[in-house]
Amino acid sequence: MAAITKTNKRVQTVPYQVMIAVYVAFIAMYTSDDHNIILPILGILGMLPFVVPFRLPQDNPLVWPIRFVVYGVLIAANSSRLAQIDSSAMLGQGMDNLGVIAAGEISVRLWRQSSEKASEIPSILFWTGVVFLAACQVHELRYTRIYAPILFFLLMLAFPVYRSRPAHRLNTQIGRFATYCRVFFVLIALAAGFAVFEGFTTYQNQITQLGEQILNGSGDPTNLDVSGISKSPTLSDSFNASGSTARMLRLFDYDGDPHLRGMAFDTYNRGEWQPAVSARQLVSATSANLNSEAIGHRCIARRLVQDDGVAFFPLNAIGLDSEDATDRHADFEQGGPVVFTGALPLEYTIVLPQDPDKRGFFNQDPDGNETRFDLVVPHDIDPKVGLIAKEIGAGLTTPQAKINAVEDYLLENNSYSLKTQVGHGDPLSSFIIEKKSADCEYFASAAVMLLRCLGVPSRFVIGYYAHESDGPGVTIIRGDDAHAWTESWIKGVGWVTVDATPGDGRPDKTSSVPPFYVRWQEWADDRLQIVRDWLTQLTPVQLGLLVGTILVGIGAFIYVRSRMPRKRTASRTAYTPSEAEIQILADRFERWLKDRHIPCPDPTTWHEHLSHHVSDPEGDHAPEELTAALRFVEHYYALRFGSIDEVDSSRGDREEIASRLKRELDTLEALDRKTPAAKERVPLER
Amino acid sequence: MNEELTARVGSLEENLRSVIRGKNEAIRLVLIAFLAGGHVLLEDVPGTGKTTLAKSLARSLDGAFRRVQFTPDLLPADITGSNYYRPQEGVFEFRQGPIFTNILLADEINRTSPRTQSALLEAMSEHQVTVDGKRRDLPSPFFVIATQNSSDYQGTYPLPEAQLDRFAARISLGYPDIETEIDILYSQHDGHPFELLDAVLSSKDVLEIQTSIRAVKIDRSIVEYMLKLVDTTRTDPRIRLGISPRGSLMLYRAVQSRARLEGRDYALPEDVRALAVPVLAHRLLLDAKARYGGLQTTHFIEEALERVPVPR
Repeated sequence: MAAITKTNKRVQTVPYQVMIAVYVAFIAMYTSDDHNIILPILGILGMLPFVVPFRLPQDNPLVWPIRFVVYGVLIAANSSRLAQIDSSAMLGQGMDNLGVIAAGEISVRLWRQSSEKASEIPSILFWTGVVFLAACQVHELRYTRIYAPILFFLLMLAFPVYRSRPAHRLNTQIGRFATYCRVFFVLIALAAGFAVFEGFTTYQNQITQLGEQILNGSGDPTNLDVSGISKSPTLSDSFNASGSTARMLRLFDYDGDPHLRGMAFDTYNRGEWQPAVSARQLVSATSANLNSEAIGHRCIARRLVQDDGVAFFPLNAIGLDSEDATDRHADFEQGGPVVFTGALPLEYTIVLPQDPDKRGFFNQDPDGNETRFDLVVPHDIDPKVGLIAKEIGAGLTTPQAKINAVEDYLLENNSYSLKTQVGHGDPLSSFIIEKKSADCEYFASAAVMLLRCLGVPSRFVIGYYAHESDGPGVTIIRGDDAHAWTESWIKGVGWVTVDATPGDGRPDKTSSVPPFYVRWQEWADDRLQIVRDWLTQLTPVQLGLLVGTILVGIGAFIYVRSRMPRKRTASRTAYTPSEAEIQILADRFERWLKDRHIPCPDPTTWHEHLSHHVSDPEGDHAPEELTAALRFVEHYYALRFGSIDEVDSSRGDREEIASRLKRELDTLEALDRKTPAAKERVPLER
Repeated sequence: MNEELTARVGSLEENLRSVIRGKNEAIRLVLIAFLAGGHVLLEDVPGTGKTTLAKSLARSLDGAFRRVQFTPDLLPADITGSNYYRPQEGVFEFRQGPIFTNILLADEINRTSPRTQSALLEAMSEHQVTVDGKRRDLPSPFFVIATQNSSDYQGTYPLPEAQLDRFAARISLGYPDIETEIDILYSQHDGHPFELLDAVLSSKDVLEIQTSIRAVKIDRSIVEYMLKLVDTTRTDPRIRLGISPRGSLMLYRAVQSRARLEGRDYALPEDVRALAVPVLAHRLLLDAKARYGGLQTTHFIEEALERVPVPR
């Protein structure tokens, strides 16, 4: 066999579909994980093997220590990062670390040399899925909605690549079957991945709770943050704006008070406001006690996230109604919340009074018992706070004057900050006495406590501060519009809103404008929502027809594609048998010829040699055997001397030729074993 | 080359086979040379169908055909054309000679003087003629079928080496066997089958095929094989003049052409082996000693084919 000097070595890179899928997962993780800087670094590291010739060895034990070092560095870096951003859930942290490790694993694999035998692609695809699942479970879930379809589409595109790579090893029937099986299993795995994603989005609360139970041993859901509002606010080191820029609520034609209250708390205990919402007795709310028939300016609030269903509305709303809600509950005793549960999109109507002085349906005078609650100054509050209050209220008689004085005092002595160092003892007392800077929860709590010291019944309220316009007549509420303020009761007037937070600390100043790509995502998300709304309106029959039409369309497309003559150009992903593989085929055939006692003399080609034997009437070889051998030679020639660039669709591509050749050789060798048929002919003719 | 063209080349071959009986190999070789853009030298005794083959090919093509009977007194201008003076207008006017055609049958080319023979030189390699210092392009495709009577040396001028090198292939038709000759006689019982031929290929088709042939892939191992064959002619002491690079190039093209005619888009060692003798042999000049020793150039190439290992 003459030496083949032309090399057909495949360029060893990962196909672009897989690379894009990897990067989509990275971006999903990056955006949903509070702009985790580790991911861009890993992304760049993964890009480098395309330009750097150095590779990690394939089958070398050295890979494992390198891998563990990489994991260790990643976990250390990620944990210190997580400590800074005060992640709320342990499960979130675990998933976060898992995602980062998976991303690191992908980078390591991209650096590994891919051999003829083993392909890195399946494992890279698997780890891409893990990164994506982690992205689903960390903070900003809404991004994954956009990335999921893109990612799954890319993964689908990557399949043919995956199939064609290792196929040259799998040319027997069993091998082919194994390939299909594997593709089938990957499909199942993907479907499962999609189901898990759906499950996460739908049952995130329950899953997180379960995770907390497993990891912490406590299943207390009271501290869960959903939609940026805590159900039992705690004064801590930093303000947990985990809701960030995610959109929560959209208001149509709303022009009332920007303070949209969600729930009120009256008991302060060691830096925590109570009772927790989950601990309250919510009563069934009817149209009557929500005053839904009230006449006034009606505006619509549309909920954009599936959450615990707390309705947000201003203190002076005179009525509340929802047609979409499947269940309504309210806590009229303690100033909220009103809970509307139901599937998205859930809309509720807020009725605003024409006369701004009119009292809202929720603005009821407290009974004696309640007033007492709203005047309690707990024991853990430093007595100095009472003295400061006395100083502030000296000489003032009306509640309104006291409120103004407290507001002025806090404005003058404390400044706004998202972070504060909590001293030993009660954080609220330390805030007031040491004149610290802190977030709105401290200001609201301080106002409550100082006013209570001055005899004004007050309570702590959390909700959203509506300020961002989203088109004409539309107001959008984001997670970081969460705010806390005070409500004080003035006899004859009712409850009034007291916002002691300095102007630069209110959400209209502190909340960041989302970057353009987030806005683009929101735009796309809205369009998706329109489609979703439309789909939910369809009857099962219509839905079935739609799905059927789409499936038939896809089938027709695939059919037409397969019928169309394809001009395929050689690409990196096209399979080209190596010189070694061709040599093995040639050697096997030469061996076969020798076994059959028809070795090919040197300066003749196999074709000439076999043709000579076929036409030789004296030959003692079965013609079908020689014909089969001739067919093999023709196919072999197509592979050995055939065109690489131009693949003829009628002939099948080189991959097919190679596997067919191996099958044909198998058949030839099998024929060899039952030669008696050929030998027996000779005596018969004599 | 698309399927329709492949079919038309097939019917062209059928046409030729219906006229020249029993000479399928030679017909294939003529077509290979023609589609490779080369020229053919038919060398044989008279009456074996050389002229008929050329005429049938011309008739099957939708192109111009001219025939020049080469005689000792033929002048170069008789082939290329010349400038005539027109007294009325007082200008010289060029009148095209028979060489301005698509297919030129140069009958008994060795009967004319070397001067006239070399007038063909420029035309065959450059596809152009120069008359009175003015260059004139020949129509495309341009294909020369020259015939040469090998039995009769009386009053002939053997073709110079440079001229021979310009022919892609030298083909010999030879006598038909008895069965074939019976067939020939009967086929001409009523008339010549040649008259029934239709044009199946246009000049444009031919050009398209000639372009598509260049897309045929030749593996490096095959090229190496070709050049090892060529190298034997350059190093052997029995050879006075070996194969020129022009000869290698012609073999390369012919191999591509044969692969295409066999319906492949890649060349095989078989292509080289089938074409080595007709494409290479006529380019060799044997050493006097070897020639008198009875060696023929065709034998030398056949011997080389038995010696040089084939890529498998």
